Amino acid sequence: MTEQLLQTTDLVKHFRPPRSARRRGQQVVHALCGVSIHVEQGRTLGVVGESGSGKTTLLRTLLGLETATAGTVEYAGEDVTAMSGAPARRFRADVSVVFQDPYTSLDPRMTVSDLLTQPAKIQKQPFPTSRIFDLLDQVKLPRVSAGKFPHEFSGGQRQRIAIARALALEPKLIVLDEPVSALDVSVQAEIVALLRELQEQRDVSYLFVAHDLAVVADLSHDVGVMYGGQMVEYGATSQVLYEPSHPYTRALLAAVPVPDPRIERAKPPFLRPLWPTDDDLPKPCPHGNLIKNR
Amino acid sequence: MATDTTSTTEPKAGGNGRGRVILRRFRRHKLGVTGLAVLLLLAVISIVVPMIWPYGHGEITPDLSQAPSAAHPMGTDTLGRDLFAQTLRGLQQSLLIATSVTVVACFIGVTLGVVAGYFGRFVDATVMRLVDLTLTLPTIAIAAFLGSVVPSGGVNWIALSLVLGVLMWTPVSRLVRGIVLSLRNLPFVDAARVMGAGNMQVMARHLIPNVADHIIVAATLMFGTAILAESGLSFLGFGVQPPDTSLGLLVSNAQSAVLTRPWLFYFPGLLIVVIVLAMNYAGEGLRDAVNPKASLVNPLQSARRRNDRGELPTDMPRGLVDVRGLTVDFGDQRVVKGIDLSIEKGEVLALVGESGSGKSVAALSIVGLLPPTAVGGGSVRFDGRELTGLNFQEWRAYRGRRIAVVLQDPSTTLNPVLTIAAQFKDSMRLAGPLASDYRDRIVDLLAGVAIKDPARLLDSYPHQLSGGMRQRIAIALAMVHDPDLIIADEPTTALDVTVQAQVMSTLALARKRTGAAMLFITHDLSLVAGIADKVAVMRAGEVVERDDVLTIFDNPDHEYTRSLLSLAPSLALSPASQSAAADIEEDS
Amino acid sequence: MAAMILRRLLSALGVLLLASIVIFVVIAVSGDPLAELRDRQPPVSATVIQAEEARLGLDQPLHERYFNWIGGLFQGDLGPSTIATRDIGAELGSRIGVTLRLVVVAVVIALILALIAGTISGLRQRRFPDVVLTPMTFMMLALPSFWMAVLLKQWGIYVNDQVGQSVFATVGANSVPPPQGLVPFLLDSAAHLILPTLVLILVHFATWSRYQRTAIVESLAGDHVRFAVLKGLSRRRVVRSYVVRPALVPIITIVALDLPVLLSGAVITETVFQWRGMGGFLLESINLRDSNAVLAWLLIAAFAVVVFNLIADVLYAVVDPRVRYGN
Repeated sequence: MTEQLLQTTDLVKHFRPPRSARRRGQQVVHALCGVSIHVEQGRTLGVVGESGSGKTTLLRTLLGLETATAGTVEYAGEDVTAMSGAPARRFRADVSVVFQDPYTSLDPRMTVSDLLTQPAKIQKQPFPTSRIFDLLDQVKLPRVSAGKFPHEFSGGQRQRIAIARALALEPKLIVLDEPVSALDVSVQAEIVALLRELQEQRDVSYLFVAHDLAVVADLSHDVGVMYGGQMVEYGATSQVLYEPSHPYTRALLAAVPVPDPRIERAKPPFLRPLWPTDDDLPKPCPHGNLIKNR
Repeated sequence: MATDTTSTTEPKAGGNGRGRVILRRFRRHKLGVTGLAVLLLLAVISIVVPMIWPYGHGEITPDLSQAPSAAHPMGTDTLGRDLFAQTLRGLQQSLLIATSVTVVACFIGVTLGVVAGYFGRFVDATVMRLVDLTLTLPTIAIAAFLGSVVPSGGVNWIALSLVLGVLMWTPVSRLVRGIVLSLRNLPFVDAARVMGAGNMQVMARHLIPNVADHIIVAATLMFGTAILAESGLSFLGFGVQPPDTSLGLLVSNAQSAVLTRPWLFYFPGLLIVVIVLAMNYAGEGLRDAVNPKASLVNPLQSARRRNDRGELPTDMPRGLVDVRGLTVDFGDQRVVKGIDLSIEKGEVLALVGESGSGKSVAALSIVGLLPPTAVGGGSVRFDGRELTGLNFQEWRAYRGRRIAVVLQDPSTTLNPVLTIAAQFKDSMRLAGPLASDYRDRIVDLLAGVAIKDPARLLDSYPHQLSGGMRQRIAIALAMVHDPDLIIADEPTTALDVTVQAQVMSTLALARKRTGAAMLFITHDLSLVAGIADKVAVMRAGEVVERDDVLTIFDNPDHEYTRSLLSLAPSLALSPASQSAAADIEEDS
Repeated sequence: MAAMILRRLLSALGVLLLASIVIFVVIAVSGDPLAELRDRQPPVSATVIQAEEARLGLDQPLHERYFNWIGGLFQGDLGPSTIATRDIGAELGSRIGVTLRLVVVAVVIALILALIAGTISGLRQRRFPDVVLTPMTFMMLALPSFWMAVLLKQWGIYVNDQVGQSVFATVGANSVPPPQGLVPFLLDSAAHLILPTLVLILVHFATWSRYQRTAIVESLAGDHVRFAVLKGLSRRRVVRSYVVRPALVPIITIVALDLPVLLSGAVITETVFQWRGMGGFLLESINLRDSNAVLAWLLIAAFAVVVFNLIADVLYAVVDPRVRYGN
């Protein structure tokens, strides 16, 4: 049995729109409606959904960038929101993140060595210089990169820097927010290969969030599919791919282009979204309004 | 994507360090450098020369009202005071006060701006009200009143600077707040917070360094304003008081002497002009260095062309579109290296390549649009006629009517201030006056791109619609005149997978209905499988392989094509996608 | 739209109320309006000073003075002047028109010229006439308005002397006495307006045309312009609806934000050209330590700024549907 690392239970996040928008009649946004996920040691959970599905809110909430309206996030059996002191610091050191856009996720004013030392500095941990080279080796960047600034690298190289920074404190879990969708196809493949290699070597877990099922499926042991703030499908990757239970998952699968002209041409045209349709609508948020919409 | 080539190569050419990059760019701005040099020179003069100049600024000499001479380079006033000495003193005062005003205003402005932008919500609203409030107080009135109540002896420069600074911080705080608002949601700030950084740490380590260069620019411009404000106040008698003097006071004293003793008026006045002008140019130079403008884009101008008119092909053109030896140069860098392409009537050619391969620039060059820094070359023949070298008016016979283009980012291609119907009307008028049933025709066109209930969209604005919807409207706009050729430049890159599938189907449908040929540009090989008849693979400005779609996918010739194919993310391994598609087909 | 205007109106009222408090406190705590009376030699008797204090309400606590003042405002009473014979309201009333004439004419002309020059400059960046206009605006930005005012006035006098008759009117807003009849009066006003408005126009034309140029350059680089060109629209149509229309949004804000600067400029210009307008009123009142007069002036200025911003907000919504419908 693998060790349970991170777990959310019935996570709910409702956003109240700004007052001016509420006056125009904008309703409370149900970004997360009771989402439960779990990530095990050394395994990858992929979360797929289109923009507005709540996948980004899920990630931000469990990283503590947003406060959950209801539900819990547990890390190694402890409630993250209630953490303070040493456990909170351990959580910050154990969980790191790689964002989508390698052009904005690295502070343009810092050199690569500053960027890699940053986590240790914030955590007030010692960080020998040799470790910088060590990290650069791991993500297969030349050691001379240490003195350079992010703008001197290509998109793929920057994403490697971001991964190196995420590895700096030997984390147990790396949260990957669309880590390859801003990159060219061939670079995507390199980054995915790097991520797989790192996982094999270090037994690190990934929470991999993306809008493209094809990208996620490659790396994930389990896959969750989100729509409208709800997890509409959750299971082992093979099961989700081969025996999807939810019409939305089927719609997603059908939308992924296949690099084979014969298959693609045989596909019917998708002029309308395949799901939801007028007679099959998504379920309303089961938690109702947890915050007032005055 | 068209700018990709320039933006990725430019920074690499430089050394490292943002400061050094900025400095290098600033040095290229001659007027800015001159401005800064003049200012530094004036500052040095104002400090050093009074120490060695024989006359003090209040010292009365026997030479009354003398015109400029060797002894008194700027002449003397009616009391016999040396104007040069007075001007130096005025310069000292003005620079001192303007510097301290700038420091005070920037300190308040930056602090409040960063705090407001970072915390947002209530804090932001409060600061913004404070800005509104400060703006209702005309600087000169408040400063004049406060200046007048100070007991005899006049205002000292510290008080004057404080008052002016407190009244002038608003532009800085607005600027800083705006930048911080955009920075605070950037992933690098989130990344720092995930690492456990606190608010103070984020603001001090990440936000302030990243607005620093904007602050420097704002400070330079504020310095000029401060000089004008201080001298204006002194002119009115509420700033620096006699027996001390300032440039404004000197001008004020010389008001009635413009015609009789012009030196008294022109020297101090022109000095103010020189200071402010120098500072403004220095600021402009810094601004350009900090925020280099992307190469000036002007689609109203014809693209620049290599002088190769003599080399144009004269043989029979092949097909609807015949491109020969197409080149695009940025400076001495050739990003499109003489490619040949041809498209038959009704055929779909996919041009596939990674970013920086030159595919977008090549496609835009076919319709005569290039960034102004680029130079095109080669031949493009459309329906037998040479398109290169056409002027704006000649192009209009083709653009929109025979060649339609769908651009990459649907969030920016539609005019934000016109309704959807108005944008259709503009296009439809090309074919003569609008028919009375034009709205029905728009509805038809929108229905043609599978938009449900199109009538309700006619009076909406683009920002009210989703990205997928906007891209479909852009496609419908391209179809207004039943074009012979559609050029689609990565039309789905900015969209979700499901929306992408819908837009692709829409595009295919629209194309089939009109029988138009299409040039489809993308970086994703799997995307073209369903739509292309022929595929051309581009790498580093060259077409490495060109063949029909089945051959490309079954028997790729070139190693690069093979690697692209093997790397394409796909679910082809799983039969699920096929069976899912089949299920849906049965359902519908 | 109506709801938006109402909301902005309420917020504007809030700012105005706040401004009144700030202005009142600043004026009240900084200096004694009777300082001159107290210092007078030979000394004025204590009873006289007390009487003056009572007349001006200086013997009351600050907040009561504020409420009295605000209460008076609603009844059209701007408060007593330090000069017993001075009626602040009446004097201001006669002067507002003079300043308004100067400011409105200057704003309208400067704005129109700035829009035209900025647009042309932006469309033809780094070619003629931009290569002339841009350095020209830089030069104008560096000209201190008081210096320009004096210069123009003296040159006007010089020209008058050379020609031997009054070509430029350099003193006052109208001849004294003003000519009879509407047409001669208007002509006379226009003649007096030329030089002072020129001063104000120069400065603001430069600022605004630079902003307009930037806005046009940015708008021109937008994808929607490229798309419009590719749709085959005429140059005229592209420029009008796709370049200029979206570029009008920034200039509206800039003009609204510049009003306080404009008022300051008017103060200086009026002083130099000896107009009996608001500017002169302010300076006289300051020299007389007439707190209530200064207060009234500041309140009117604040009111003008708030109203101007309100108009800008509404225009903003008219020009930009994104504001009208929210995002």
